[in-house]
Amino acid sequence: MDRGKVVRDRDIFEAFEEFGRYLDVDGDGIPYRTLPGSGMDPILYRGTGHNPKGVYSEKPEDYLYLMNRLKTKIDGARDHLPAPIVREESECEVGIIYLGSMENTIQEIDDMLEATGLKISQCRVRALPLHSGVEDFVRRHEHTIVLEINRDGQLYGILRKELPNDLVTKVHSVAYSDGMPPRARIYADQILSTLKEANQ
Amino acid sequence: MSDAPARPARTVKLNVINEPKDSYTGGKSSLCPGCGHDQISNVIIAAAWENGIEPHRIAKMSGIGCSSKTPAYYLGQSHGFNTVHGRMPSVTTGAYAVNKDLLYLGVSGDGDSASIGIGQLIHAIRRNMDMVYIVENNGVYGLTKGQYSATADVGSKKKKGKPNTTQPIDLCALAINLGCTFVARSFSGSKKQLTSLLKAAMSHKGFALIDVISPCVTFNNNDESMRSYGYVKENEITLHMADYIPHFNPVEEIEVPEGHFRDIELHDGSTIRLETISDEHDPGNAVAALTALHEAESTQKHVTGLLYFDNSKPALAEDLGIVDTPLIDVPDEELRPTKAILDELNAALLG
Repeated sequence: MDRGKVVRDRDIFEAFEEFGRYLDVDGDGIPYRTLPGSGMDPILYRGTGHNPKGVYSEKPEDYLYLMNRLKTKIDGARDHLPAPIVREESECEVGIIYLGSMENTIQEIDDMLEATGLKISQCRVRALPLHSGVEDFVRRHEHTIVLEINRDGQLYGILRKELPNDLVTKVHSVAYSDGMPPRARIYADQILSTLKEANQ
Repeated sequence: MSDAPARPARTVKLNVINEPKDSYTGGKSSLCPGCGHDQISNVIIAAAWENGIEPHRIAKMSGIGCSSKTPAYYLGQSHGFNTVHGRMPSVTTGAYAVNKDLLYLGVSGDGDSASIGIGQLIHAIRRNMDMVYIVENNGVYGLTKGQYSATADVGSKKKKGKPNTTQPIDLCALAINLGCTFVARSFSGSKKQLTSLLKAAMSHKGFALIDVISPCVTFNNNDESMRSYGYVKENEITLHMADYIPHFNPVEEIEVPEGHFRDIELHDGSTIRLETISDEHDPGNAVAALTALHEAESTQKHVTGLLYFDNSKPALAEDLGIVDTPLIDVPDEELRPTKAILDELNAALLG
């Protein structure tokens, strides 16, 4: 079982020039940990402001370092997390990005849309932060619809924030929820209407 | 060269495992000078050292608040965890499930335990989670400038504002009603009593709650406060003198008190000796403990000592049927059965 960057060996520990609970020694934003009871040097998971060594601090430079470390860690996690499940047409005309809650309805929606002559590809997002495969999917398709069961288009909001500017205009939101289980016809009609607007 | 005789080298006193007391100290406190919490930190250092516990076998846990900052000030060689506010019991339960052989030493406050974390505290007690849980109880929220907390006594008045009129939560009474197996109250100004109780709590297998009245010198140490140093000293009802006899000290070496006393044997073979002061209190009697608490409350006093003790209930690991070896030391191949073994087990269950 991989428990991440846990140091269990004294020789490995001694090889570090510096050690700290929140200190990034190798650039991936993820500090090494030791475990209680192991006899290795202790760490304190601190709740108050701290420096990379886990010592209390209110210094702006410590705060900045730790916030940037977390960004490095989160960005580095993207391609370690589950990749999206992509079912792609060779034409790459319309791509639909959705979450697992749409897994069954999407097949019905896909059939309804393809009956109108469109070629539909699917991309099921399985993790946040977004995997690089999601950006690649958007880049390959002429139009991308972000389909979700809510009022505000939350996944669409995340994509708009994370995608490069040149891709944002290719992405459109279809978000709908009336409290009932998703019905394919409602979403298919909204996608058709959104695509019509986008093509005007 | 001076003719003065060389000063003898200072001998460093070692404990039963040959560790100096320095191995148990922590960083410099940033709490207000005179804070009761610092005195409790000193007691924790002394108790762990005198009990001869290896520092790396202790996990110090806390939530959020003045009290929960203190793990930085003691046991610098132990791992520590400041959890989310009020969530220390569940994080500790998780750590315990992985390594049940460590001593889990939790420090919390009256806000962390009696307000935001009360649900967590209640269920940790119900489960008889194997840990020491110290509440550093000052009756006010010090970090947010001294509002009354849920344990503030009715009629008590802090430095500024009106007297408290809201009924308090008595954490000891709550714990006794929930079947807690070790319930004590003490005062940060009663070093000897608190040290004995804490050492006994460390020897207990199960949930050991010590509610420590710990005056907030900045917001709640005025004469009208029922949690000031002066008030508690004047209005403390001590149930008994508590002495701790560690398992590594032969009992015959301990001086036997002249009056009545009661010895209670703890799980690791140590003993807590309770010397009767006036009326004898039976810590095995929950009704007597609750009566003592209610009588003290009705006269606006604080009763201290070992209120309740029960060594008959299984601690959480035993209750869950966890294997003797801590899960962290169980190899993966034993911890995670293969798919074939899992299929075999499932087939057996299906009949």
